[in-house]
This record gives sequence, structure tokens and C-alpha cells, in this order.
Amino acid sequence: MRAATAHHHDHDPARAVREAYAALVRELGGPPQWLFVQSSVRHDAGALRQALADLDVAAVHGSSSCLGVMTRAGATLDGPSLALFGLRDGDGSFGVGALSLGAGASPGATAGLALERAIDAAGRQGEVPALVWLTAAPGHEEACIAGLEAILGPEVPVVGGSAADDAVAGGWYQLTRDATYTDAVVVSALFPSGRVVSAFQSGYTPTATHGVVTRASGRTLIEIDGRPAAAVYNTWTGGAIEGSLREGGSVLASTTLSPLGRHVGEVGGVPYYRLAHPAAVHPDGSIDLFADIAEGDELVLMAGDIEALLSRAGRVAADARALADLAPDDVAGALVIFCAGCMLTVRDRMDRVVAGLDEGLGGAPFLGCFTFGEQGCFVGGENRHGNLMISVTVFARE
Amino acid sequence: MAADENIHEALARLEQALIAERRHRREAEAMLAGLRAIATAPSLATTDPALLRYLQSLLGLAAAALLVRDPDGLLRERATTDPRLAGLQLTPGPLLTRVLAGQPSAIFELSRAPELAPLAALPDLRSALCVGLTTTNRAAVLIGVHPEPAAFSPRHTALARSFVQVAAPVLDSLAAREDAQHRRLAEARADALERSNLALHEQLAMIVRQQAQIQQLSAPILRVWRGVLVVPLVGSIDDEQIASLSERLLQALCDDRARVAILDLTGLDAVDAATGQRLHAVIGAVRLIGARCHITGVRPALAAALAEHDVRGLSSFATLADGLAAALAR
Repeated sequence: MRAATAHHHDHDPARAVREAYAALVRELGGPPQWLFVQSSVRHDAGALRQALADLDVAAVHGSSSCLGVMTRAGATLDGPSLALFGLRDGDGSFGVGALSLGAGASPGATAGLALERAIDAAGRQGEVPALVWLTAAPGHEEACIAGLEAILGPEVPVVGGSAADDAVAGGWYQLTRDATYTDAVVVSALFPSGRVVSAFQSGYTPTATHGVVTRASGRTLIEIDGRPAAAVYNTWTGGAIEGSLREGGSVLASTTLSPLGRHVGEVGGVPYYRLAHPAAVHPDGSIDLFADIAEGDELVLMAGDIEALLSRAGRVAADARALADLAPDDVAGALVIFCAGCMLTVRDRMDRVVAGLDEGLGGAPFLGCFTFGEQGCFVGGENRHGNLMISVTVFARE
Repeated sequence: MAADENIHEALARLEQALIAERRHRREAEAMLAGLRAIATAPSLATTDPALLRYLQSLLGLAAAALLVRDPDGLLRERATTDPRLAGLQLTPGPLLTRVLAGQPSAIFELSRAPELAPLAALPDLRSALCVGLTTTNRAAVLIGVHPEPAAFSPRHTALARSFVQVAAPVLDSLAAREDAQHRRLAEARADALERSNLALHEQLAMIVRQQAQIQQLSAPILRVWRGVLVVPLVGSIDDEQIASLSERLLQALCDDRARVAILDLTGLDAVDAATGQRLHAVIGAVRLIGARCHITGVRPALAAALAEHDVRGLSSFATLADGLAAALAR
């Protein structure tokens, strides 16, 4: 199995696709069997898809990324940008399925149907893939994961990232070779001939501050321990959202280093958490999150800092390689899902993140995207949706 | 803060490594037990059921069957842990061809895998795990099944792949050992058969030789006087002996220019109509070459048998002495 990446910053999406793809094919020594496409929303989705439809690859899975993309060559966060990740694996099989989440069926059932289409498209009817790659419009990721697990069981890794735009304004898109969407779930069923291993981490450290959700609705956290959630959170963080309490508004930037954690499991007594990123505060004292929240959930205030954000991706990459027990030369390539909130916080120092990934992956090619929600498989095997998370998925040559 | 995160991660990583190490050890011990079972089996035939039982436990299979590819390409059940799977036959398509080539596959829903339709038709089976167990002398697939859908995951296929990697050389060695044993047995059987054939041929040749001697001894041609030959017939006499006697007697009459042949029938055991006819033919042949034929020692039964034919001109005497005297007197 071979992997390669290519990127292009031309304003014309057709030219960007054409030239990036030509470079990718040169690197791979032929057309890929699976193509993962990431672009900034400054590229028109329809024009991108049209250009992708002309390529000689059937399995195309893509979505928009916040501000830009990153590869070994660096992070491109200004202007239109496009990056491609291709897997060339004649002994493997790959298929893509996509459906609009607004079509009537529940998000879980829709994701399940998209998965079945992906498996059928791979020519592996009834077979369990090594990994499911997921991209969804923000909003129903937990239900999508549940829908996938209803078909494959809980032990198949589900990894991916929610489509994003530049301003949380609903401008995100998802695409395949055949269609573009703004509200879809896109699923790839991956049957590579070599190993594929993924590491998924929150990184943040739990503090001693905690509480229980006493009122919630969907992704809106209304009360913690019987009090308005915004007020409680503001107290916990020593006034991180003080300025937004009365009028409400976006708090993404001020909460990135203090997300809310929920216990998922533990490794030998060391707990691990999935994170929920407070996105906006309402005048009624409720908080919008990028993840579902339920009454009875136990919340832990998590803490992080800039230095940790800068070095974390490299550590997750090294973990993924260690999990797969791969020497640097054995890594064909990797996909990196990096929370857009984290990226925005360290935007000016993304070169450190790229360097860490490069070192952690031993110089293997990688494509990174910036997402509004991350899905991955924790070390204990739990597939979860979270915020402010990082996943690194490593494809082995054999 | 970053230091706290690093410490937290390092602890988690350490614990994770310990857990992974324990899991690897458990799996390695389980594999070792399985390998021991198959390595000490006397033959592949006895290995198959042991292998199935072991993999059933290792991979969490509700039931399992071993299918072996026959010369027409069909996979046929060779051993099973469950009567429902007895007689199972599968036609390899892309899925089973991949499995035979060494890529295990988990099936989350049998009804969605066309190649496994015969399994989907069986009651209470929903998911399957297919593992290639091909050795140098046979192509085989393990089919593990489960009543729950999606009972198998990439973890199971990875474990199966690990087992096959370590078990394949053992199975190959067992197959080679069995092949060598079969070859030795076949060679020994061929040697024994050849020796037996040789002995049989020798016995046959001896029997033929003895038969010829017996024929000669049962009707010897004695030159008792110049121009007079005597043939004493003893025991029973069949067509072959009569033919031999006729040929030898006529030849002797010609060689000796004899004028009289005396057939002494005193020692004949059984005499029936057929014997009478045969003797009559000999007498006729002697006459045709210009010699005379006397018969002596004719008993009542033979007399009756000969009387059914033309006995005109036939010289018959009560005893050999009378016959000799008559021949010498002429």
C-alpha cells in the first residue's frame, strides 16, 4: 500500500484539483483507489466536485475544513486551499456512500444506509471494514456513530471530523465524486491490505472542579447542579466568559483552554475524557456546545495551555505509530483530524504543530484538516464524538 | 499545565503498554496451547477437530467448520463442531478467494454476503469469521459462526491473522510429514505387491510345468517291442490330456514306424460317455495313419460308453498281456 498527499492554492478549483491530482498520481505511481479531499470553503463545492468527477478514481470522500489544510509542507490558512490524500492499494478495497441527513430518516439510520452503500461500493458485501471514515455536517455526529455501530457493532473504529467553515456560519460542505451536500453524512468503508491504526486523544488535564448536568436539550447545556450553566462555567473558569454573560454571544476563543470533559473510560486507573467545547452563551444562561449533552452527565472542568496544544498532535502521531508498532519507514501515510478551535488558538504557530506531526510520523506524508467536531476511537475501544480532540490515523505499508 | 498533561499522558501510555503486554501474553499463551495441540497430532485428520475446538475458544466462535477445496474447486466440509454445518459446501468467489489467499474476513450479516448464502439459510446464524488455513497440500477455510449480527471485528481478524502466521509452518510441517508417511507407505505397498506378483508368477509357471509332467505321467507312451507302443491310462482323463495324448501318440507312431498301439484302460478311474467319445477319436486317428489300435482292460462301463460309437474293426482284449500277445503274434 502506498500513500501520498498533494496540495494546491490556485483560486481556480478545477485547476487546483487537476494539478494536485497529477502530482499525487506521480507520487503514487498511478491512480489511487481512495481519495480524501479537503478544501477551504473559499473553493466552490460544485466546481470542486465537477473537477473531481473527471478523475479516474471512483472512491472520493471530501469536505470543507476551517480556514485551510495542512500537510508536511505546512499549514495553509489564508486564501483558497486544497489538499488531497490518496491510497494506492491494489489488494485493498475502498468504497464511499453518502446521504443527506435531512432526507427524513433518523441521522443514525441515514448513516447506517450510507455505510451499507460504501461497503457495497467497495465490493465487500457483508464484510466488516478495518476502519470507517466519517464526515458529517455538524449536529448529529453521536447519532451517526450509533447508526454505524448498529450495523457493525462497537468494535470497528469510526474516525473522522465534522465539516467546517471559517466562521461557524453553516457554510460547510461535504462531497463525493457524484454529489455535493451541506447537510450530509459521508462514509468510507476502508479495507486496506495493510494495517490501519488510529489514536484519539483529548490531551487536556482534568481539574478538581466538577458538577452534574441537571438540565440540557440536545447540544444546549442549560443547568449545572441546578444553576444556569453559563454562570457556573464562568465561576469554574474564574471569569473566562464574564463579558458574554449578560448579552450572550460566541465564546469559542475564550473557552478553548477550558473545555468540559466527560469520563469515557480508563486505562489501568488513568481516566480519559471526551471534551465538549462551549461555543456560545445565551442571555438565558445556557451554553451551546459542539457535542450532545444529557441530563445526569458528570462534567469535569478540563485545563490545557498553548504549549500543550502545540505539542499534542506530534505526541498523538507518535502514539498512533507506537500502537501500530511501526518503524518510521513502515508508515505509508496518515490522516490528522485537528479541532478547528485548537487550530484557531495556535493559528500563528501551526508550524510547530506540523513539525511535531512530521517527527511523530517519521517523515511520512500526512493530510490534516480542521474540523467542527472530531470522531474517533479511544484507547479502550469506544467510538465517540468530541470537541477539541485530535486523531491521527496511520496507514502501514504492509 | 503542559507538564501535567505530559505526566497524565505518560501514565496512560505506560498503563496502556502494560495492558497491551498482558493481552499479548494471554494471546501468545493461547496460541502456544493451540500450536502444541496441532504439533503433537499424529495426522492432519486428527488435527482438524482439535484445531476447530481451539480456534472456537480463541476467537469466540459459537460453532466452526473446516472446509477443504476439492479438485473441482468446491469447498466441502471436512470437520465441524456443529451438526448444522455438516455437509456444508461453498463455491469460492472474490471473498473466499481472498480468504484462501490469507486475508481473514469478518462478516457482520450473513444475509448480505452472497457467497455465504448456504450459511445464511441455516437457522440462528447471523455473522461469520472466515480464516484461510491453507497448507502446501490442501486449500482450506475455517468458517466460524455466531447467532448475533456483527459478532466479529477487526480485532478478531487481526488475531486470526496472527495465529495463521505462526500456525502455518506447523501445519505445513505436519502436512509434509503426513505426505512423506503416505509416500513411504505407498512405496512399501508397491514393493510388497511386486514381490507378491513375482511369487505368483513363479507359482503359476511351476503349476504349468507340473501339469505337463502330470499329463505325461497320466498317459506315458512305452515302446515295449519293435513296432509296438503301449499307453497305460491312469486316473481320470480330460479333454486336454486326450488332446496331448493324441498328439504325442501319433508323433511316436510315426517316429518309430510302429504298427500297433495298445491303449491299456485298466487304470482308468471314471468312465463316462464323454470319455468314450474322446477315446474313440484317438483310436480313429491311429487308424488314419495306418496303424492298428488295441484296447485292453475295458471295464463294463467303458464298454457301454464305447458301444455308443462305431466299434467295428476294434480289437479289444481282456488284459494287457492278451493285447501284447496279439500284437506280437501279428
